[in-house]
Amino acid sequence: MAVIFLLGPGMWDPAKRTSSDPAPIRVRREIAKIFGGDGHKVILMEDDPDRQGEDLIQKFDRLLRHKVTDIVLYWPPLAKMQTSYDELILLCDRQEFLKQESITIWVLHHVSVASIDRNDFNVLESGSRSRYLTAVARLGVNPLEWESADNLMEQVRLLSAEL
Amino acid sequence: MIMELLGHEDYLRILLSLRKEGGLRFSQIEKLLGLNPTEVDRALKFLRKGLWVVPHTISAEKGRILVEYRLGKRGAAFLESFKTFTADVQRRKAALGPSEVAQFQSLYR
Repeated sequence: MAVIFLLGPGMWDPAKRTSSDPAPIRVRREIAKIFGGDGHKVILMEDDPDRQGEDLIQKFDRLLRHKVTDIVLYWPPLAKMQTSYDELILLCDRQEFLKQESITIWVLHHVSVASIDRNDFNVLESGSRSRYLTAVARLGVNPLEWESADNLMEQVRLLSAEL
Repeated sequence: MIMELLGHEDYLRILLSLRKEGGLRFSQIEKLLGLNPTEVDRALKFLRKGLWVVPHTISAEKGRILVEYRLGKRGAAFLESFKTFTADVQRRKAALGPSEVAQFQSLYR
């Protein structure tokens, strides 16, 4: 069974999205429930209590080095990504460790965020969103596209069986 | 989904090639199997959607990020079942018809 570090945003960007869709953290908890139902262990940064004197980087490292086998990055459109960017920078900085431990990165991205076009992976996000996603994609990831909430959950179920 | 997979020779051939080669890019699949881009595109979209194959990004020159397609666990499981089926087809060659069986076997040789 896999030990999954599930990364991604916690909330929508209020300037860009006013929809009543469930917040990204709720979606991630739904995703975690599917993985957990198949016997995988799932780690969410937000749900793991901070330890005394521990900063964000130390917490990230403690969780990452806890026998993680797979990292799943949930990337919806129009979310507030600042915290995720910090996590992605930490991820890129730990490229050697990821390789050494054979940790696989899965990117569950919306079709408006990036596309797989024949030979190429194209980042469709703009500005800093584009830079961070491009940096992560360069690490060597397995991108999985989704276009609706139902389709996302179907991809998660398939991924859960793959892990 | 499995029925659709069985109904498309191209899809099966791509899975078999990925098992043999380990991982292939779009243009390599095109060349190796003699398929046109539209056929490969249609097949890979289907195979990706069902996670029969897993796309993997590779950093390349001039800012490009390439995609290599690899056999997924689901695709490998399907091919194992297919192997059992093909062995059984071979055993029943006389009843099924030698030319039919030969045509079927040409798929995975």
